[in-house]
Amino acid sequence: MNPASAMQSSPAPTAPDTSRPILQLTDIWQRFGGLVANAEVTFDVPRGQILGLIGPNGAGKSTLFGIIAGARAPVQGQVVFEGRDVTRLDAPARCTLGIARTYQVPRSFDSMSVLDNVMVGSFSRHTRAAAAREAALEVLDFTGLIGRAAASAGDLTPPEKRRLEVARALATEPRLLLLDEVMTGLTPSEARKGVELIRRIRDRGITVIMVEHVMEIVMPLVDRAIVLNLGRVLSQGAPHDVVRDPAVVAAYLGDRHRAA
Amino acid sequence: MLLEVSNLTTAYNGLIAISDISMNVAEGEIVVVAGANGAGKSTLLKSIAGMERPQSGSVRFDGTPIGAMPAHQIPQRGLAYVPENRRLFPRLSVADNLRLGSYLYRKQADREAPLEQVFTLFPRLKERLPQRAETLSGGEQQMLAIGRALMTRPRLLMLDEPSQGIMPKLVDEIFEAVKTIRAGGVTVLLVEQRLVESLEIADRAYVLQTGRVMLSGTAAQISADPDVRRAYLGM
Repeated sequence: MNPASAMQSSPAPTAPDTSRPILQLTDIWQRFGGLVANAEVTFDVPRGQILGLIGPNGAGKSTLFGIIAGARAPVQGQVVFEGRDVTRLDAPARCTLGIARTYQVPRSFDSMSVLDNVMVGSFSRHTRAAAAREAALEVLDFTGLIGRAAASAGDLTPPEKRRLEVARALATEPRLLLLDEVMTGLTPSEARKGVELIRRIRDRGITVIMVEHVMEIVMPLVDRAIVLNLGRVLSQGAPHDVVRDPAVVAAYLGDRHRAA
Repeated sequence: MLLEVSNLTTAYNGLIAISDISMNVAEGEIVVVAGANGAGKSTLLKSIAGMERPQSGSVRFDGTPIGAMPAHQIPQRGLAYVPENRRLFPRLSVADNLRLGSYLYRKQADREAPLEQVFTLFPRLKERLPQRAETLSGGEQQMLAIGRALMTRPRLLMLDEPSQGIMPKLVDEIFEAVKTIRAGGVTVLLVEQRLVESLEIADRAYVLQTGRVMLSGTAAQISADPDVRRAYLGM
């Protein structure tokens, strides 16, 4: 059976259990040769939250992001999405289950229109072009790109391309959306619009995990922050508490006496 | 001022990495540019070194505008740049890497003159001269990169995150070397994420956040400023 058509009816046959965490990571390890990129990473992501994944350079954020998205399986540990072990599932299979991601460097199909780019996403839920187009238009409206629907993706400005990444991911109708540095390089006013969009995504009931460097944007936005350092979870909690954790401050600003 | 950066803005494909940055370095200073990842520290150095073309703003070195100068002509004016990840010639020996640093002086009998100073700073380089650069440890590679830069006989040495990916003990050694280099008459502009350690050796600091200068002042002022945490952690 075509998995896309199976997903077309909603609610899904196994309605998600909303009381459980949407995502559970248990003892995740990742190694590249001798380098330990992630170690003992364990945390839950409650449904309906915006979670920030932060940490200094080399903390293992991108590696962990890839493990959640299905880009690469961990050498050890378990990724459970809505109660189901997805550790060994590839990215397309996870997309079908309801996990979507964006890329830090936008991966638009530049010779195609903005609408067609988003339809690439909506075709994962709709087999008929008309239905896929309708769904894509709705997403374009939601993301504020409707006025650019006919434009060639290659002609978009960099902030619009970021938005297109988000739109295409949303068109796959995810319940978990992974955002990889969508705020980087935006002007303050563009970033404010981005923040507003992410809040509206959350308000639709979509859980959001974001890897972000732009701390003055990400910290006020997220419900919870996970701080990684040297591949491990250093701290987690409400942003207000995390930024006051001496271990977090030392990880960012350095403190050789404490670190030694 | 030896280095004057005015209203510098650099973007990558329309995405702004640094915005309207003004900063300066006086002869004989150690100045730190700090900030969390993504703050624009490396872009600032690249824009000064001619490795990136700023969109607007100016860079003056010893009074001369160098903003439009090709990167390879900048070292001969006395500005040396040690990039992030060192960018050594991995398959060349330590000796050859150092020798390439003195390329500007290739026609001179005293081409290798700064070598003695480099070996005094980093004695272990002398022990490893015939070895390929790629066989050195991370800290030793950093020493070699700094040594190679010193072979260009700079007046201003710019270092991009020399502490990255190396053992704490070697970080101390490198920071000690930076002090010695300055004592020898070379001005230093140091980019570091690890602010606490770098303030111990610096005269002044600039703290960047998302491509802008958020704080600047003497090392003592910055050490005591509670806004530093906000610059790094956003709140």
